[in-house]
Amino acid sequence: MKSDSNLFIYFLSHFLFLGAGFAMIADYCKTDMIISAFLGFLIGCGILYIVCKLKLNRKTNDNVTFNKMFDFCYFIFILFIMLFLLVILSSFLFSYFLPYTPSFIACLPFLILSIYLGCKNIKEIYNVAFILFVISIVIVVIKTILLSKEFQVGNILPFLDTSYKNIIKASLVYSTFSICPCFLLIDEDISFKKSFKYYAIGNIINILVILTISLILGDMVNVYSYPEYTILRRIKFFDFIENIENFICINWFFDLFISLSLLINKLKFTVKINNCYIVAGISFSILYLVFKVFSNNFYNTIILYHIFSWVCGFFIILLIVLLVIYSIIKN
Amino acid sequence: MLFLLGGCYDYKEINDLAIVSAIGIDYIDESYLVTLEILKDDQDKDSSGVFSFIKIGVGKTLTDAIENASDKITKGTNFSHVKLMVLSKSLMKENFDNIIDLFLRNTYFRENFYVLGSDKNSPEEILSNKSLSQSSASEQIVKMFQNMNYSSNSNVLKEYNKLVKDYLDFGIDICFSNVSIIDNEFVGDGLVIFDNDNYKNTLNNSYAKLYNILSNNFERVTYSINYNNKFFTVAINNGKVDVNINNGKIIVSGNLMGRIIDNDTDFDIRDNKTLKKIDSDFSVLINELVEDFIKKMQKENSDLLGISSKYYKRSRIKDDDYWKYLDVNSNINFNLNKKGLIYEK
Repeated sequence: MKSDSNLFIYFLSHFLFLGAGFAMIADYCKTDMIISAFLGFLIGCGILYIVCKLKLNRKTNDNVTFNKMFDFCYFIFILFIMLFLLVILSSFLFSYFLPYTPSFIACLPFLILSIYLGCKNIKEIYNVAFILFVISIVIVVIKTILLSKEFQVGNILPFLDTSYKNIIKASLVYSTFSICPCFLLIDEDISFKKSFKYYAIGNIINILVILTISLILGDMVNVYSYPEYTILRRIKFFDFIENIENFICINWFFDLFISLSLLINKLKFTVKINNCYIVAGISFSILYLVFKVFSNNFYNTIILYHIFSWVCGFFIILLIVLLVIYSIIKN
Repeated sequence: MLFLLGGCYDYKEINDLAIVSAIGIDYIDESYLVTLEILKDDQDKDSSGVFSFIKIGVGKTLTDAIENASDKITKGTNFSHVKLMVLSKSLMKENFDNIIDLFLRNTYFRENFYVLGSDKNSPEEILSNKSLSQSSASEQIVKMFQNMNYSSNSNVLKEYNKLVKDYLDFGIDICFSNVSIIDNEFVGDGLVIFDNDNYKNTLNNSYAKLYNILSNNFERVTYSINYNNKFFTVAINNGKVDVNINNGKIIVSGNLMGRIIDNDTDFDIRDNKTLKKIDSDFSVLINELVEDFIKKMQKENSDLLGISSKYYKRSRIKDDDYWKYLDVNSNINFNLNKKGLIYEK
């Protein structure tokens, strides 16, 4: 099977929404989430187009100072996204699955598996990602069908009940969350046509989840930390298929798994060391940091959640500026 | 396999868990009294019933009371299989809003259990009553209320998450069924209604039936008309009703259909004129009852049908008092749709 890095965009445009993106957007614009998601998708498409046009195709004889500066920024970017991913994972596991287990232990098997995959080459990650992509789509379709019984159109009425300012803020947050992780692929061979396809699929799934949440929860959409998981508890099909939320939310873990493997893979190439133990050491250190600083400290987690979209926005601008500088140097 | 290893850290055998199937909450002398119904795991394998025992805890806060009850159990309490919550009248009157946050916030509870009130008996009496079958009280109560869909249909069995949604949403008040013990048997005993988080009243079962019709959540609601001391009975089994504010009036419109249950009056149901008269009589009866129900709601300040919410969604005007002063006009059409197995006796 030929590797196609564009596929990763599907996973990367998703994973930040679990426990962070959806709740944050809901906090801004409640039942108008769907409008901000759509606007956010359009903004994201624009950024994706710019990234694909300013393709990074570095060579060893390029400007050394630029390369070092770029590698440093890219390295910090990877560490930051990895930190947030592990905060999301540990909070989710703590909240619903393993409330009595220290987050370090809860996340450890997941991280070991990701390191194992991340240390392989990109083609092998692609092979796993392709299978998980298909399963993920099937699960989302099943979820939506099973939940359709609970939909109430009245829950999203009246439209545009929140201020335009909040809708715009939420759409910026949406675009940041969906596009920022895609910057991991700037040194991969991605084309706008193909990457748009996967970005669109990823966003359609996001919009579908947002629509499902709004149609079911209505004004309660901003009450829950994990609205996307909470609604899964309502699945009751013919009174014999119920309590399946833990199984059916597995596609979120797929997103986190592929994204974490990709982050580890990119980390390996950025530090330019083929030894996987160093990459594993960095990853375990971040997990330990998450365990010590964020897992048992809601205050720190909230600060991280508040600054996250700003930092992501900063990285988007920084990396675009670096890409522009690179294309100027190259020409 | 590696994904699942994290779960081994705090693993507990099912035999070491006390599975709580119901929670009763009472509020006496500024203290919470929590009754936990716990499933027995040492029952006879040949018996088909689900058996249980209860533990009671007292505390100044709800958490204290639950912990106090849990401390009396030798095994670890597990709340993820709670099916039913029974609330006493004093709790509903004084501290109803306290049950919202705790059960929504904690991981240990699934928010899809049913909530019932009990204004005549304490939750402890309800959950310790084994009735004749001796099986778990919560099991019997839930089954009884579920099966009432096909008998009197005066049951309003609401899940906790739906209750909380009504509680938090603008322009809709909450209600749920009330359970009592009469002659050692459980009975569905009316409809508990609220104005925001204030307990207002417990309406009788006939109002509960009307609530089910007006919220389009019915299977089989029966009504009878007395014609010269002989009764003609129908069961409403189909149709849709809409309640809205239009031109400064509460308008109830829609079509309901029903089948003949009992034709004691010996009406000739082959005759179109007779059928039209029956339809018209039942339409009048239903419209009168509906108008009376909405007036009762207005009197109690309890917007069970979410009239204010619907008005807000249509007009964007947030006013949860407006509906209380409006006239009611009910225009429901009733039609017989099934005759039963015979034409005449």
